[in-house]
Amino acid sequence: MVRMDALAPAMAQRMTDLVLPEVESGAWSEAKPLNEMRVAIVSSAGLHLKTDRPFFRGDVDYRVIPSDTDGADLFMSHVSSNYDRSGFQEDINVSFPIDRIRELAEEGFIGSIARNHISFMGATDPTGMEQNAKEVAAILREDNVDAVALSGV
Amino acid sequence: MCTRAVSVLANYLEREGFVTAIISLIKLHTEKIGVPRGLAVPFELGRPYGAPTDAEFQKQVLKQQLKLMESPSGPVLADFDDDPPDGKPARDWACAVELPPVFEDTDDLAGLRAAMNAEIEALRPAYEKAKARRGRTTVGVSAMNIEMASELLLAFVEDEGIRSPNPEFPLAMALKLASEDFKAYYSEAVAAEGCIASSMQIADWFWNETSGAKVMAAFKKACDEASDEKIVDMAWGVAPGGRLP
Repeated sequence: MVRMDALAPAMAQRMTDLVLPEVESGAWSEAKPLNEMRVAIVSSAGLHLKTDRPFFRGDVDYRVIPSDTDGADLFMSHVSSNYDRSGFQEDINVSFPIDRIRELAEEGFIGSIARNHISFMGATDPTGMEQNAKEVAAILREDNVDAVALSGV
Repeated sequence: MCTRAVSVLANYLEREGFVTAIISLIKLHTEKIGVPRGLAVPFELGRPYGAPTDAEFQKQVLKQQLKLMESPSGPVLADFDDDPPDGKPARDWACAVELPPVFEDTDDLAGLRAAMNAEIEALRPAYEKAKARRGRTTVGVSAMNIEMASELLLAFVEDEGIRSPNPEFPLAMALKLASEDFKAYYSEAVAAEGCIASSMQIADWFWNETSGAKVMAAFKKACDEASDEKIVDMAWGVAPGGRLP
């Protein structure tokens, strides 16, 4: 994980003390071989198209990012300042690996990539996202998605 | 925090029948919440796939994440052991653009405004160069140009009763987005020649060596003292922890 000694002391303490939600975590879905699965990216980095409404504090909804989105059309409006943005400014793939997953599909490592990907904005109580996660599931199911690669910032 | 949100979202989506695997930036959070499949990485916050412009390294991380999906049973929380390539940050890096001396008096708004505008002008060629090199910019999320966004911050310091410039955004939101554009303009400008500074060097430069940081200090203080609770609530997120009072 991020090395706690690389964080400012106040930030490291905040990470250690953060109240974590209790969620039922026993679910397990059976996978097909990777090269047969259709994969979507779900991020909590507060990403969205330039034409979308930015995220703001308390938002538990999500934005849809089509697979063929040009990196130049992608914005980040995460409400926290406690993480590096210079990496994303240089290369979107460091937090949203859209080009990499496309390459893995072309190489046959995965079966295919979803038509749409999803971003939430993670700096809020995530238990408020449950209903929206069900909506996301419906979007992905309609696209025959099997698997989801998640990451945040 | 994102680090807990991805873990919670993984559980919700797994419950819906999807096979999920997360990148965990704070393993402690993932261990406590519990996920079906997770890859704990030793990268800094903001960089879940490790290194910008290093496609092979990013792909290595993504492949390890995806491979967890073939685990016969779980939960599984694996470690990614490689450090990200350092991108060779110059040890004695300094901003190539010569800026006027930092304007320290945050109560002198006329002076602060002049210093801010002078910095924006001084950085403009570098910002434009970085934008051309990358073929994109992250400045603009407020839907204002840099002049409007920066002016909004000081206009609010002068008068908390100003109206939001965008009828679709509450003032708190317009201010937050303007502050993000303001900081992004600086950090993009110093990358004109590529990623030769580390993220920490860029942050240290902005917060310690620019009048822009003084604008942010005056802005944050005004937010903290605002009568609009949404603005007070938003203020925690305008600067990284420890950079401003």
